[in-house]
Amino acid sequence: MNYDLLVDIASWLFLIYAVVVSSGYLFAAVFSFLEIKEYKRENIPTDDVTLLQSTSLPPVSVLAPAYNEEANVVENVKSLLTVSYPSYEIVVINDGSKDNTLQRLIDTFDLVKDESLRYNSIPTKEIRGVYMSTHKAYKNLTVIDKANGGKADALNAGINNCKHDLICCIDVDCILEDDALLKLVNPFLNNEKTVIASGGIIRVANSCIIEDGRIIEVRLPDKFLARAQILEYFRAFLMGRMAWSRLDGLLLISGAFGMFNKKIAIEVGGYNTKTVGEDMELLVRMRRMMREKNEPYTVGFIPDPLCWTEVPQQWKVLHRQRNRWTRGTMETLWIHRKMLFNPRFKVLGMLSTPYWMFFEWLAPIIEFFGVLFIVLLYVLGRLDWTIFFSFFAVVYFFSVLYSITAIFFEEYSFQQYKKPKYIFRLVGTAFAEPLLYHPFVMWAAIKGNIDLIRGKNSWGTMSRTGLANPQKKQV
Amino acid sequence: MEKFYDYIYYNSGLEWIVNVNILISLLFLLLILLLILFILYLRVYKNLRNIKKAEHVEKLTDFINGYLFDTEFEEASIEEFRAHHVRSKLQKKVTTKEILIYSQNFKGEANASIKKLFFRLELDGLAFKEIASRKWYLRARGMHTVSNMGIKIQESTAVRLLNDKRVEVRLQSLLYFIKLSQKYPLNFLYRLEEPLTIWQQIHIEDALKGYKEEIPDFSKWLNHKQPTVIGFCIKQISAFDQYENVEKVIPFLEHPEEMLKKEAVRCMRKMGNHESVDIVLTNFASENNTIKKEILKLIKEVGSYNQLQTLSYELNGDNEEIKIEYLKAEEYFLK
Amino acid sequence: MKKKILVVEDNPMVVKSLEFKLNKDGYDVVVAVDGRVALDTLKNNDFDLVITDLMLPFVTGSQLIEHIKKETPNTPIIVLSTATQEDIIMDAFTMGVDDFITKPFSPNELSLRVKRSLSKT
Repeated sequence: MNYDLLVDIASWLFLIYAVVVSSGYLFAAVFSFLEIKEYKRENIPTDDVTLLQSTSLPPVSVLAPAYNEEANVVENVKSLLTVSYPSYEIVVINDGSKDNTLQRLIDTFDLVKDESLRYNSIPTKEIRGVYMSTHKAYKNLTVIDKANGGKADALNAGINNCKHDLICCIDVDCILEDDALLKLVNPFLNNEKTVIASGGIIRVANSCIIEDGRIIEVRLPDKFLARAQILEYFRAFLMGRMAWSRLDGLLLISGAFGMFNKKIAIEVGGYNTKTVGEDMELLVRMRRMMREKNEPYTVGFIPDPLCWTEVPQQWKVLHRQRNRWTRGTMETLWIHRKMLFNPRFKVLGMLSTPYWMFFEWLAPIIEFFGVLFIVLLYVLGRLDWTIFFSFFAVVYFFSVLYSITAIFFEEYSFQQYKKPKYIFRLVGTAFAEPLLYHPFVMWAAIKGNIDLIRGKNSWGTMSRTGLANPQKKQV
Repeated sequence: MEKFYDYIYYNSGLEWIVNVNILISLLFLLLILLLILFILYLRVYKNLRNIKKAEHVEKLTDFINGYLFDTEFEEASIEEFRAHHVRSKLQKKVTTKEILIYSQNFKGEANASIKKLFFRLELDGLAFKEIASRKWYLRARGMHTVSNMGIKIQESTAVRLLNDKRVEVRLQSLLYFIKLSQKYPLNFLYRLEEPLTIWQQIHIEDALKGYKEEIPDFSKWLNHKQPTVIGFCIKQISAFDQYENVEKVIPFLEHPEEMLKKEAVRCMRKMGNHESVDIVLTNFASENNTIKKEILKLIKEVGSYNQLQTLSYELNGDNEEIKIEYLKAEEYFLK
Repeated sequence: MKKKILVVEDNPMVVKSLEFKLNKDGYDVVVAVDGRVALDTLKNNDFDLVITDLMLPFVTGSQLIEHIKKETPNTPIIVLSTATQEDIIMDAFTMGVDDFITKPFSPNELSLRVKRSLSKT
């Protein structure tokens, strides 16, 4: 084959793809900007105190699955019990921990077994017992002890055994802002349509100063790996999610912190225990059902910093997390492939699912083949370095530009990183990230694809590596 | 097109793509630098603005505290303060906000004085301008200001804003009606065309808590065209123990709308109404689970074991959820 | 000697007004913006009276009251809170506070109640 023609075709294809991708990002940026601007205006004169004293705020059940968390579970539950909200319960689900998680809880909170009858709307692994505290101060605490079944199964057990109509699913080690529930419940109250879920932005807690379960001071981590993820979270939330929220096309509410309409969650059958992307899959299934039933509905999104979480600081742990996210995305898209390009599902079918397919799933693969192609040309001695570097420069500067835009959004909206030197470090990270961090994440995604195709660790019975720190919350 | 392609293909080899790439890269780099400069500018601008705001608030609170608590305060200094420190838009905005905070925290004489100060500083002009604005968030803010300062605005404007297309403006407008009404705080409901969100209901309830006059008769709006308004009124009938209105709620036990039926059953439970149990028992079999659960709660709290037993046929059915609820109720009676 | 009052409150506007008003009334006023600062301040100082909110960051008003009642049981405490629920008010009194003022409040009334609480000791 003619070498020049080949490179020519590849170049054109590359340009077309680049134009599509960049216009996608451009739209995301514009929509996010509009959404943030509008949101900032909304919080004018509402008075939190009024709300906190109201007896009409819908009560919320906070579901927190715990697996081998004996080190921190007591502290975490204590801090959950101090969140400002007039009426809520905390349901901790001990998902068959092998350590002393349950005993720690029983000892600290004086729990006793509660033998009331319970109806299981969603089938789960065996429930060994439901515990309540004998102390009045902890009357809002319920602990469910069950056989190990994974995070999705644990959450389902929580859904079955909680009292209230709104459920808030969180990771037990998350740090919630004091007004987190109050803010997250807002979309459910202020809407004429049925609200099926609402989600918030996840923030990176690494290196922040934390006391008594509250963020005292926001700090920028010293580790590059954590800083790179901060940029990634900015891009994903402030630019991605915000834009999708404006289009009402959100497909994912992070498993680390989201609120759901219990009735509808039960109606669709709860969390899917057969996928590793249970958080995304649930929301997609709920949306799909509402659309199929032709009921008007919406999904809320709150951009304020409400929930802080530790992100992996080790390459290995990060690799496992991203590998899992990729599989979760693929599984969800596969289960709901009917929605793809289906005009019946409107934004969901024509924009959201295609976006997830091309940007989230295929992008790393295309990129990977691009790299292979370059390597091949090099091996054949056909690589024109001038051309290579010129392409490389375009891609590189584009990704830096995108990150810088995300930093700008953060500055414009919430400005959490207050020290001046933090800005310069973030900008520096934006320049280094495409070279040092991105290839690694891409490789983790490729591995995820390979693992899924080879049937490792996914469909059918899931071998369990635990909810414990590393492997959770898809961003 | 073909000629063009031939031209670039044969005349310049692959250099065209390199040139395009370099051009694009440079463009991106330029944008990056501009954005970084803009971020820095934004930082400085925000900081300066915050410093200015803080300085103004500092001066303002000193001034207001002096005005409120200093016996040697000179009246003339109000005019002076206005002329020097309540000039720019930012100053007016911040001053209004602070005065609102004062009025929310103080009652009695201090509250009356602070309202007087609002007019002496001529801040009502800004509020009126905001109300007439085409931007919804300004309309909401304007309504918030006038209702807290007790300023009457034109009736037609208020009604128009009550049915504004933004829910935030509607909320502030209905609070305006409650706060400024002398005798009938909820009469705005007659003129409300839009549904009431839960959020609005919470705020109405809260405003009613602080209402000193007689609580309105909620049965007046049980035929409102918005079901959310009816639901709200049924809730309030039980919240304020308006036993005289129970009769008027009973028909809703058989209302086709699930939400209203549920509220009606709840209302009966909270008011301890025995007669209602027999009414809901007749239709029990055809209700959905939400209503059935609500009815079982009603029986548990105000009904009898015999009444519960008329439903024992449920135990033979395959509705597991209701079976469990039935057994729970039975357990309660037999304990 | 001037009497010393500790004001624990997180609303900056209320803090400044109270400070101003109580200074005018002839008291020494120390301000703490949250429960933890209040505990620190109490370690090194003696006060003739404490005015506190109930909803405070970090250490709640109730915890603070318990602490004061344990360390210096004779220091009178006035609660200044938005709470209007009967049980909250009752709880406060059972913990031994002297007075409960609900927000919105009248500064003149507060000043009189402060005077009364101080005259009792």
